[in-house]
This record gives sequence, C-alpha cells and structure tokens, in this order.
Amino acid sequence: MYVGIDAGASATKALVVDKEGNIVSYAIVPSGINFKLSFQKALNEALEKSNLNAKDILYTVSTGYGRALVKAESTSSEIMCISRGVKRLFPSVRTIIDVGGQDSKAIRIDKKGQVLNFVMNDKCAAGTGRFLEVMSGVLEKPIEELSKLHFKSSRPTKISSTCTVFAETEVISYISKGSKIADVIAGLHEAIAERIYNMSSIIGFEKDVVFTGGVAKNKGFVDALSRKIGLSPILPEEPQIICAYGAALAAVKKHEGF
Amino acid sequence: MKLPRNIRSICETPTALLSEYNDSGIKVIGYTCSYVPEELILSAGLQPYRIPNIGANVSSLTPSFICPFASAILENILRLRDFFHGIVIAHTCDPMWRLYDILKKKIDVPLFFLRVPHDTQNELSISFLEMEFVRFKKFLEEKFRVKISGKALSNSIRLCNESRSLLKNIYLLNSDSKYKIDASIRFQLVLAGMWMPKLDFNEQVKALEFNSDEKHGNVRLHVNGTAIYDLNLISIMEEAGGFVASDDLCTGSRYFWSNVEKGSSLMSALAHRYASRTPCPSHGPLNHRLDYIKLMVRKFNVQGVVTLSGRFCDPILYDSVHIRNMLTEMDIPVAVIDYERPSQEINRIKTRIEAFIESIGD
Amino acid sequence: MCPQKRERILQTTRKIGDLIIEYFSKAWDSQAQNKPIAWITVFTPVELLRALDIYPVAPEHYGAMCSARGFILNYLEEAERRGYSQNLCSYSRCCLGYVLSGMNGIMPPPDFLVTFRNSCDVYVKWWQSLHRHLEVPLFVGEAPYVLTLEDLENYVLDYVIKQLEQLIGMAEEKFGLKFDMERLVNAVKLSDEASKLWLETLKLRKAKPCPLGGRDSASDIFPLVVMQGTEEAVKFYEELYGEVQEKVSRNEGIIENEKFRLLFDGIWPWHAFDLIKYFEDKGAVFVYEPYSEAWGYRLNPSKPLESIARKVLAMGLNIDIDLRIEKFLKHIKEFQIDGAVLFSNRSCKTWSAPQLVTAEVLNRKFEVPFLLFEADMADPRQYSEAQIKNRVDAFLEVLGEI
Repeated sequence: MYVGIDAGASATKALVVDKEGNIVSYAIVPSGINFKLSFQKALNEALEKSNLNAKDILYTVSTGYGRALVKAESTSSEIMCISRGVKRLFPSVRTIIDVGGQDSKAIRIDKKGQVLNFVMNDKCAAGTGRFLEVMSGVLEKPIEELSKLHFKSSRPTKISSTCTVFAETEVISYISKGSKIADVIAGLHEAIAERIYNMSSIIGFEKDVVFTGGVAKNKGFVDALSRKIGLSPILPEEPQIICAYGAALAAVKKHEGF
Repeated sequence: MKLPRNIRSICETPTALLSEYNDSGIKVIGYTCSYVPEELILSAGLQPYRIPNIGANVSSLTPSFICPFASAILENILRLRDFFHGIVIAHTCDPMWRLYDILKKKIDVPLFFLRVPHDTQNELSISFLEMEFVRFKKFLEEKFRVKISGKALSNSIRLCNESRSLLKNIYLLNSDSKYKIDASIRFQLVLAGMWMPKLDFNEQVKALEFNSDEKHGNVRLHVNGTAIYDLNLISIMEEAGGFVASDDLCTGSRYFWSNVEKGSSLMSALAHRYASRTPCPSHGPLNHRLDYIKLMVRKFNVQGVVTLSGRFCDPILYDSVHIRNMLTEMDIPVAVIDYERPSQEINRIKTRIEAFIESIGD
Repeated sequence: MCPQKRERILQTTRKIGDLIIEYFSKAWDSQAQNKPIAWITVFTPVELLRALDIYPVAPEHYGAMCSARGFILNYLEEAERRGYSQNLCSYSRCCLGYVLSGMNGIMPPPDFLVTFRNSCDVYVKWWQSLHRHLEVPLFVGEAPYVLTLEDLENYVLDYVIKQLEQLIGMAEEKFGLKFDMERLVNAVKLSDEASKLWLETLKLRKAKPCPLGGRDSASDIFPLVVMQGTEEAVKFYEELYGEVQEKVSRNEGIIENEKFRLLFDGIWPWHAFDLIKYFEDKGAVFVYEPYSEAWGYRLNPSKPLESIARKVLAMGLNIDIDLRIEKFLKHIKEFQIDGAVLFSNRSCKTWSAPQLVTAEVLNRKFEVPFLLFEADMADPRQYSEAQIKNRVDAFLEVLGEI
C-alpha cells in the first residue's frame, strides 16, 4: 500500500492507494497547530478504515503547507499532486481550480496531460476558504447552510470590498439595514468567485474544468464560480482529497521506479 | 442652485451618454488626460469623451500595486470599448503609459499615444508637443477620413475657449464673499463639460442662475490632487462643514484656467496653451506647482488644504511631502487623505475629513 | 570540492567589489579637485558627462548596493519618517533617506542633478524631490516613448539631440566647464567597446551548459551602469569575455548539474541572492535576462551626439511593447529556454504593469511555463521567502515533468 499525506493549513488528509493507484481509504482531520500530531491522527484513521497497519505501507509522499513536518519518504508540490490526482480521475481535464482553506490555485493542463501553467493566491484570505469561514462566523451560520441558502437568493447583494476585513464590515452593515441573508450569502459567493476568477484569468479557462479543494464542497460557491467562468465544471465526489490522492500516486510511482 | 436635469443625470451615469452618442451616430473619441487637445477632436467632427474610473473595478490585468485609478480606467475602456471609435492615451504617468501597452494587445479600436513631455515649460518641449499634436491631427484625419481645415480648428478653439471661460467665471465667484456655489455643482459642471457636446454645454451653462442665498460651512478649503470623478469625495467635505473654495485638480481648475491665445499658427497656439497650463503632479516643474498652490490659497482665503492622494499614485506621493512642508511653513493646516478605492473607503475618509475640519474650525 | 559549497560565480565577477570601491574613491577625488559630481538616473548619457569632466554617480546603484549589503533599512525608514510613502520606489526612498540623514556614507553629495525620463516618471519626481532638498541645478530630460523604429531617426531623435545640447549649455554655464568633443568621441568609443564585449559575452550563454549565471549577470552590469567611457570598463569586459569563452571551450557550465534553462524578467531582488542559489541547487540556471542585455548598446563614434541620443531613447523599457515582446521571444528559441521567471517588482511599475500581458503571449503562443512572484527589488521587508520558495518548488517540479 502507498500513502499520500496533504498537510494543509486547515485540514490534514491521509489517503491510501494500492499499487494500481485505486483509492483504498482516506481520512480528513483538522490540522490544528501541530502537524506531527494531526498527520499521525489522519494516517491512523485511514489505516483503521481499511484494516491496515503501518507496516503495510511501502512508501509515503507528503505535500501541502506542512509537508516538511510529516514523516514521509519524499515530498511533492501541491500543484503536481492536484494535477496528478485530477488527471487520473478525469483525463479530459484542461483547467483545475483548487480552493483550499488558506490558498487557491488555478492550473492549466495541456493536451499531453502536462501542467502548462499555474497561478497561486497565497497572500490574501479573500479568495480562499478562510473568507467563507469568517463570514460564516459573522452570519452565525455553518458553511453547509451557507451553501443551501445561496440558492434561495433572488438578487445577490454586491459586496464591493476585496479585503476580508472590509467585507466583514460590509456584510454587517447590509444585515443591519435589513438585506435578506440569502442575498448576502449569494453575494459573498460571487465575491469570492470573482476574486478567484481574476486570479486565474491570466492562464485562461478551457474545458473540461475541474474544481477541487475543500471549498468545492460548497455548492453555492460552485454555482457562483461556474457562472463567472461560463463553463460547467466536473466535481469530484470528494474534492478535498484530490491533492492527497495525487501524492499517493506519486508514492506508487516513486516506489515502483517509474 | 440646481443644475439642469440632464447635466445632473449625465454626472450620475456618464456612461449612459455613450449609448446615446452611438444611437445618434456620433463618433466618440475616448481620452484620459487634460493634456489631450479636445479642439483637434472636435475639429475632425468627433465627440471627445473623458474616460472616468467610476463604474469599473480594478482590472485583473495589472498587479495589485499598480494605481487602482489607472487600472479602473483600463477596465472601463475594456468593458466600454464598443462605444468608442478611437482612444487617446496621454503619457501622463507610468501606469497610464503602460495602459497604452496593455490596450495595444487587448483591443482593436484605433489607439493613439500622445507623448506629452514632463517638463512642459521649456520652448523645446513646447515645439515637441506641437509636433505630437500634428501627429495626432494626422491620425484623426487618416482614421476618420476627414481633412481638418484651419477654419474648423479655429471654430473648435473658439468653442472650447468659451466653455473654459464660462467655467472660470463661475469658479471666480468664490473669491467674492457674497456669492457661493456648491463645490459639487462646480465639479459636476466641469465633468459634464468633458462628456457633453460643447454647444449644448455652453448654452446650458450660460442659462444658469446663481443664488446668492446659499448657506455653507465656514471652513474654506483648497483641494489638491489629480483627477477626481467620484464627487462623493467633494460632497463629504461640504457636508462636514467645509467649503471647497479652490482646487488644483485635473477635473477642476486646471481644466479651464487658461485659454488658447493667439499664436504664430493655430497648432503652435494650441501647443502653447496646453503646455503652459498650471503644472500638475505629472507635468511641469514642481516649484511652479507649489507656487500655484500658494497663489490659490491666498486668492481664495483658504484656511486648510486637503490633499487627495491615491495610495499608489507616485506623482502625488512625492509632491505631497513638499506641499505639506510648504503649507506648514505658511501655517496652513494640511490633511493628506490617502485611499485605494474611495467608494469602498468613504466612511473612513469622511471621519478623517470631519476631524480635520473640526480642528480648523476651533 | 563539495558541490554545495562551490560558489557559482565567475572569477572576474569577484572583481566588481573592488571596482565599486575604486569608483567611489575616484568620485571623492573628483570632488577634492573641485570637479562637479552629478547624480544621474541610469541610462543618462554618462559619456557626455565625461566629456564635460563631470563625475557621474547613480543613486540607483547605491540603493542596490545598500540592499545587497544589508544596510538599506535605516535610509528607507528615514525617508518614511519624513513623509515619503512606503509605496514609492525603494531606490528613491533609500536615496531620499540618505540625503535627509546627512549623506554620511560612501556616496558623495551632488553638485548637479541630471535625469532623463526614459525608464519611468518616478525618475523625474524623485529628482524634483532631491532638488527641493538640495538646491543644486537640476536638468530634466525627456525621452519620448519610441513607438516605431522611425522614432530613432525622425523629430523624436532631433528633440533628444537638442536636449543634449541644452544639457551641455547648462553645464558650461553653471559650472564654468568647457565641453570637449574629442573627449566625447573617445568616451563613446570606449563605451561602445565595452557594450560590444558585454553583448558578445551574453551571447555565449547560448551554450549548453550555460557558462554565466544569474549571480554573475546581476553584478557584471556595473561598469556599464556608471563607468561607460572608461578604460577600466573595457578591461573588465575583456577579462570577463575571456573567462566565459574559456568555460565554453571546456564545456563547463556555471552550475554543476544543469537541468533547466530559465529566463528572468526583472531586476534581481538585491537582498535575495540566496534565491538564485535555491534555483541553482535544483539544477535551474538563468541564461537570459532582458535587464542584463539592456546595458549594452552599440554607439557610433563618428556620430557621437546622435548615437548617445539613440541610446537614451532605446533603453529597454522605452520601446514599444511589440518590439519588446519580439526581442524577448527571439531569445526563447536561441537560448533554448525551458521556463520564465517573472519578478513583479513593487518598485518598478513601468516594468510590472504590462508583465501579465507579456506573460500571456509567452504562455499562449510559446507554451513556455512561467512563474510570477511579487516582492521588492531593494526593500527586504516586502519579501515572503517561504511563499516564494513554495512557488519555485512547484514551478521546477512542473518543468521536471515536461
């Protein structure tokens, strides 16, 4: 068995594959501040789910923000891991948009299946899961509800601030003036979609587009971003583990000597 | 006093005017800077239209530290490109210079780059500016298949001179303690003049009536900056008890302060008028600009100066240090208000201005 | 020799340090002999100043040096304390901070301020600010944007030539100097010679493995920045050419294990030479930088003023975008470039503003992957090391898979 660990800033994902690269099991745990602990927890959970133990693992590849702190045979960049994972599941992919807890990325794949280019937003919370987390707190609604309420909106409120801090103030002022929560939520999804769209437009959008990352689980956000890009995306069943999957595939490759 | 409804509505949604022009078959030339000679555009039978930054977000084509004002103008040009038959970019400053580069790769609309020298006040530069005006004239003639006659140019000069004189007279009413005009109205008139057909504009301004009973705040202010299209920035000053007695804005006094005088030729006269205007942060010797501000401050009995500074506007950022130093020596209070996108930061700006005006009022 | 410990820098490049000290020491000598010192913005005709016996000093170079050697912060902070925004060009903040804190360093105070607006407007605004603080004569030259190659022949060129004459007139009047045409011709000859050697040296980087890397090119430009027209500059480039040519004949690269050949667009962040090492440790070598190439420009000694005027006009950023892109793209093929690293420099807006559009062309037309990172060329506070290295890792991994 081979393992991929994605030690993200918000969540740590551990994923087990067999030597054909089929997913055997996986686990997602919050990263907290101690990657060494969270990676162990994620790995143990994943192994338990498939009745395996540590000595069944032949090779581990780590990726993500905390990859250096994870016990692994080698590391790989998130860009490559995400690309690998997506290509394996959806070979027709040409554009990947990954929105994680603390950063977002856009990757272009060429017709040979290789990464043509990528862009990253790793400086600003406004185009990431963090933005929605903050707003979820302000609105006192869990993210799953934000996703549902999005579709109840008839007229999304225009959130003009590009900065999370200023946007927070804007949201509070709209709510206090009586705006519908559903409209504000839809507006927030549009705001984050716009940010991501702007970041990614330099590399262009070509179909098929795949969305990955934890935020892709939010159907409201997916709706906003798809409309912004003008293309319907392919959504993996579990978008949050795609990067770890790619790391696990790298583990297979490295060990089998390809 | 109230402005005629159409001038007011034009200032509220200036871009709506573009569809009107299109519908009536009028060819519009968008331009970005007060150094672009409207007279030449008019003499070719075309309508000049100053491109604002309002209504557009910052463009994703420029990095975050590029002046958001310039970037929003870029975005406006991109989204409104179908309404323009030509675009003229002047070499105002670094981001505007590069706007030309970016547009060259992004739009098909006929594009012209006007190379305005930085030091406009020496004869060599004025001759060069004249050559650039000649090149601009050729561009208009070729792209729009017209021949610009001396007569047409003379008429346009006369028309623009009239606009400018009308605006200047209204402005000068501020130095008289009896009549006062709301700054927002004055600025709206200037902006309308940059968007409307000149004949219409002149007629409407001539027909304005001025009320001598306007009530205004006490604190007389001078506003220093570049081009301001978001007039909320001006109205909050007056709402806070200030009165904008004078300014040196590109969309203010600098637009109309001087006229085209007689010269050795029409083109030479044109070049001299544009070059010899009061300096702006991007053109002309800094010392002359500081002198001009001193003059304005004295002439209009100014009690405080507000510098409106874009956070990434290099010319203003350098100038504001010296403006502040000079005014401090003259014992005139100065507030430098910096912002990235005024429409999003209006509350913060309002608080700052209120505090400033209050501190002078005491 | 242990590969990690081997410094990837040429022998000749190591001489730059001494050259810089000599250059400043000569500046102080000049001052002692009552010869005027001019502070210039780079791409100002140094050859002309030499013909007037004026010693040129470039505060931009001083800013780069302060940043590289780690003592720029005091100057930046002084400028900021006195009202200059942190969003202004870091070279200018360093220089203004230097002036406002009493000019107690190695750069001698100026008697004359000379600038040409070819790189940016900031040059003029910065020089205007210096003029307010220093009250020495100021010359502001205009170098109109070159829209077509005709502008290097027509009234645009004329305008620049006339301004050069104005500059001569001003210098003679203010400082009682006498312009010497023979000295100019000589300076132009030497400057041309140095340019020729530098451009030939850069061409040698086409070799695989590349004999001259990013660390070298960053420093080697110095003699063409302020020492154009001197014998020392020519001597330096002769030596450099010799060393590089030798490496080519021995098939020796500047790095041990060349895997990727990269283009770098921008001025290297002076406080982060270790980033070059980070690339090189992973087998990536820089083979071309438009910035390095920009310093070499051929002059014609039989038409000295005209040549210099062309040089003022044609400096890298002052030429139409399509001409710039054409040049850029030609090198991709010739130098066998695998990828491009674009530095979005907060201090250099004229460079950064159109970068994305250029990158688009690179990527769409040539399928060359690019890496964009944002920082400042001289201000060390605007540098997010971990994030930048993370992007570099991803970029090199992408190149590795191609």
